[in-house]
Amino acid sequence: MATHFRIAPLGDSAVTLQLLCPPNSESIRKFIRMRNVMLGSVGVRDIVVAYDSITVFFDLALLTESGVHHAMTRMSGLIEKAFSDIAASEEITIPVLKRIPVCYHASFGLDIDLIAQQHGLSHKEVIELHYSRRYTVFMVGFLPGFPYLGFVDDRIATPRRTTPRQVVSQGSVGIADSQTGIYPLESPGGWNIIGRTPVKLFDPINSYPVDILPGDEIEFYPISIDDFHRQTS
Amino acid sequence: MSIQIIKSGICDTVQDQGRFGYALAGVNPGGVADIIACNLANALCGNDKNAAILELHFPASEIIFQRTTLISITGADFSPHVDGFPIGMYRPVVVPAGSQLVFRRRLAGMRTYLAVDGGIDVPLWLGSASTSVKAHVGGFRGRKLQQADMISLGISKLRMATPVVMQARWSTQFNGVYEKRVLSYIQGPESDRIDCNLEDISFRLKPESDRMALHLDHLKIPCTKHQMFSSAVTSGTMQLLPSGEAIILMADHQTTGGYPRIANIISSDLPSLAQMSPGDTFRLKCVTVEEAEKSLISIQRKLAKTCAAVRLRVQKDYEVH
Repeated sequence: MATHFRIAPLGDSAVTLQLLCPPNSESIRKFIRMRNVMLGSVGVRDIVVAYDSITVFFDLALLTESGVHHAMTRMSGLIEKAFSDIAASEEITIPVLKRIPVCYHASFGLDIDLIAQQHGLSHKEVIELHYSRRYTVFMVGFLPGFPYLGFVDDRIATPRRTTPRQVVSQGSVGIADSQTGIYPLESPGGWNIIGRTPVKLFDPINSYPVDILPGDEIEFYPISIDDFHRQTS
Repeated sequence: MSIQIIKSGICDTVQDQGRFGYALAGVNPGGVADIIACNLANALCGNDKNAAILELHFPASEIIFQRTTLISITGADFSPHVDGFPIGMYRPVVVPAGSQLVFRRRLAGMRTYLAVDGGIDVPLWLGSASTSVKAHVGGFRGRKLQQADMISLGISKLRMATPVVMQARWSTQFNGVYEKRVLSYIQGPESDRIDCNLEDISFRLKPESDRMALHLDHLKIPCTKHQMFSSAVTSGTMQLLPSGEAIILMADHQTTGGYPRIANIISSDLPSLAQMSPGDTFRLKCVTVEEAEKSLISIQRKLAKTCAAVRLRVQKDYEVH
């Protein structure tokens, strides 16, 4: 893992460590391990992992009460130590592979044609290029459970729509630049939609409401529209 | 025992201190926009700071109380009246069963807080009563309050009933946090992407500002590089949009963002921001982390001390022991 990083405050109650090189599946899993190590520390309120950065949110009042006089200095030290400990460690995390069914039927793949035209491909080629590789979850954000996966084949990488849609259906699978992602809830959105999954990515009834998290690996597989309806009934 | 919404407000939700520990899953903290008003409101009802309360914007809900209730109203002044009588803010007020609360006009500020004795009673989601409107969960049925809603209140410890509104003659105040027009900020992680000095710019709040972000009107800020990987953001983060306009993220911010973070308003200045209205102007002042920490610790200490004293007095004067 690269040893080049920088640490910067994010306001007075959070500190972020950012890699100075592009993220990959190994770096994101090391961030997850850093998070696991730091979560139990006094004053740590939450930790976000996203692409090339990890951010620790802390409770200044709690830290002050426990005798810490310079909270930002203390938390910067914490994050730096976690980084070097994990970097030095020989431990390897086996990624969790999750397979997600996607129906690429034309009624769901609203922008397949746009992507095909832009890149001079057939619809079939666009679809195959999408499901034929393993992706890493680099971030879950924007909405609870919305996974940002990297990186799609260059031949289907497409910028966001200039005008976002007012309504994108729950389960929609999309492409934005070299990322692919899934809308866990109905929402406005600017991603290029190529299909829909019957899988529920966000369920508030569960004690942990989201199943797919940064560091996971994802493979999509195509299902028919009949299978889709069977799974959502 | 409940309160009933007789008439809908424009944006009224159940909130508390927010929901922490789930940001990795994209679950944002939410919670009240003005933590000082919230904590004081709770203390004035004898509640712990974590009790759920109502955050109301203007025009606000009209509310009927089904039981004798000890209430307090803090934050913005929306000219509260109970059964036609004006009631003072920042003090404990006992309202009789069947009384009706209305907010007549917006005199100052942006959101007002209504706390009740026993707290607002809603099922917790991930340990918090805060409403996540986007995810349709948390608070009262995961949405803004609407006409005919019946919202449960916690168990009352009041040892009095009254046929008329009874207001305390004393009130509490908390000076030095609101109506700041020069807000302090810490450099953001992408501060090096702008050439200009943020302290030279005058910012004005646009009407589209809401719980998610303040939208600002100002001389465009040029940026050397817009592209970046998405990363974490927080309340007070100032993002620079591709248009050259800046926004400041507020209580309902998402967990991550893809725009350059050019500044972070310090935590102790967030209550001022929370009470700014469209048309208000402000300027910025760059401070060190140490200065921001010192300011926050000082405010937190003062708030905790004030709340503890108020809570004790209210419990003594109004509650069954």
